[in-house]
Amino acid sequence: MIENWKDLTDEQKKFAIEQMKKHNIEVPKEVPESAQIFNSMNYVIIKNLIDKNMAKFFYEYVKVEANKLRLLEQEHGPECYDHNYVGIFNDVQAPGVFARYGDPTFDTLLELTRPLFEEAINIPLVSTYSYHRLYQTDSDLKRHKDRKSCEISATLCLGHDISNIDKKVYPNYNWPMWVKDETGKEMPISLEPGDAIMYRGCEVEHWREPFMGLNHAQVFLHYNEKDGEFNNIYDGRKALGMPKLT
Amino acid sequence: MVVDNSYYYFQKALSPDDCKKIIDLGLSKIPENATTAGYTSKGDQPNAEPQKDKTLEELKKETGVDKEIEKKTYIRDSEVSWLDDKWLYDLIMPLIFKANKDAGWKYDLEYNESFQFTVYRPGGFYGWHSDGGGDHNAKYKRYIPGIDKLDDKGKIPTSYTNNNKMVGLVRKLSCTINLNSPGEYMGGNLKFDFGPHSQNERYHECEEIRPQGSIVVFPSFVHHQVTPVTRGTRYSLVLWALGRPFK
Repeated sequence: MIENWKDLTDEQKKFAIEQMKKHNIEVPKEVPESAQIFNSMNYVIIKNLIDKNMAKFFYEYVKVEANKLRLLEQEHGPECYDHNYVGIFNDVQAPGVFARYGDPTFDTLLELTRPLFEEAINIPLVSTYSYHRLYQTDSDLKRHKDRKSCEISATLCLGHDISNIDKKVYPNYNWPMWVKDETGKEMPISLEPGDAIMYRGCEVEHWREPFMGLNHAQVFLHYNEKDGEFNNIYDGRKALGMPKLT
Repeated sequence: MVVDNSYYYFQKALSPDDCKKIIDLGLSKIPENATTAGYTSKGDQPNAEPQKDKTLEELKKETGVDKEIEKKTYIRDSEVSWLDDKWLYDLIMPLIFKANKDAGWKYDLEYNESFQFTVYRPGGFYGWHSDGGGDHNAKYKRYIPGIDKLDDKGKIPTSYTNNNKMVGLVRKLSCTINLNSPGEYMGGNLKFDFGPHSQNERYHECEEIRPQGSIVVFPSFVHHQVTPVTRGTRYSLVLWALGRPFK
């Protein structure tokens, strides 16, 4: 272990690595800055986790899903469907907005982004579940901490429509999620489509104030630490994309 | 639909003090300069004529306009505000439930809209209309901002709602409360049209609710109007009870 590793120049690091390889010494893995922030703050912002075109695709996908469920309910009534497979409009935390647990598409994203998150926070993870919402005008999210399956969580911004906002009054409106850090400080964090916040869901209190725009799609990607205290792979389900266990 | 009891009323169900309290509250919430409310209201279309108490057929004959008479006339001239105070529901809902039972309608009711406080000034009226069809076509549709468009006035279209509890429901019972004491206004009668096959009279001016604080409850599909106010100002409170569409 080289104690002053982070103080070395790139040239010095390169030389040191060559020497360690030459003498069969294990090369120390550099802890990324994001992991250091996560360790100290219990949350970290990950910019450009997915590219903007992909985020746009997911945003449009969520709107298609919401519109589909709305029309199905209108035609046949809400009781005609197994909401495990079509989503809901009666989410307890955000009533009236479209939400869905374990959509196969977002469960796939959950697993595909897992290595990116592992690298960002330098912690091995297991996927538990995904959940997404299409927030709409006046939506809020009550102050809460998450359940155990959300030990390490990411909330990823997919897209939003704030075309109703008067830019003269609110030139930089971007609906933030608020987090309360360990010191008790409350921080608003705004994301662009494709950006994510990683946070310790069971420890960091988080919430959203009422939304002024038209709609805002967000997906939550939840993980447990691999071999950690909970290790509740797939949230107890047999596989990704399966309905929530009741 | 023809029903045995086309309306049900309670005279002087609200005290004069309650009526005054409602009027003060309602007036305090009417936006400044608001002159009309609802669709095809006064001011929506330039040069439109008031329908007053005429049917569209009568208006066609009178004006010679055959096509799109609705767009060349307006159905309503009144001001409204919306009230959501719990004490109002506590006061009114038991009466609606009692009317629903005693009139023999026994409709399944699940929810209700906000109270609509309405002011009809001299000349004010609300032409022939029904409050809702009661079938699946009349269900409130879910409004999703950014997916659905607002109407020309920048409001949620009338058949849509952003209230999660109203989605899929229809207006089943309408309730009108007269807040004025007798003699404070003339005209402004609530008038029903029970249809040509009604067992009794077809048209009925609901004089029963003239005493202050009186309430009338009727199925929302019943056609009705408020005839033009000829003197004074008429204050009323309206509520719609909602349920699943008729089967």
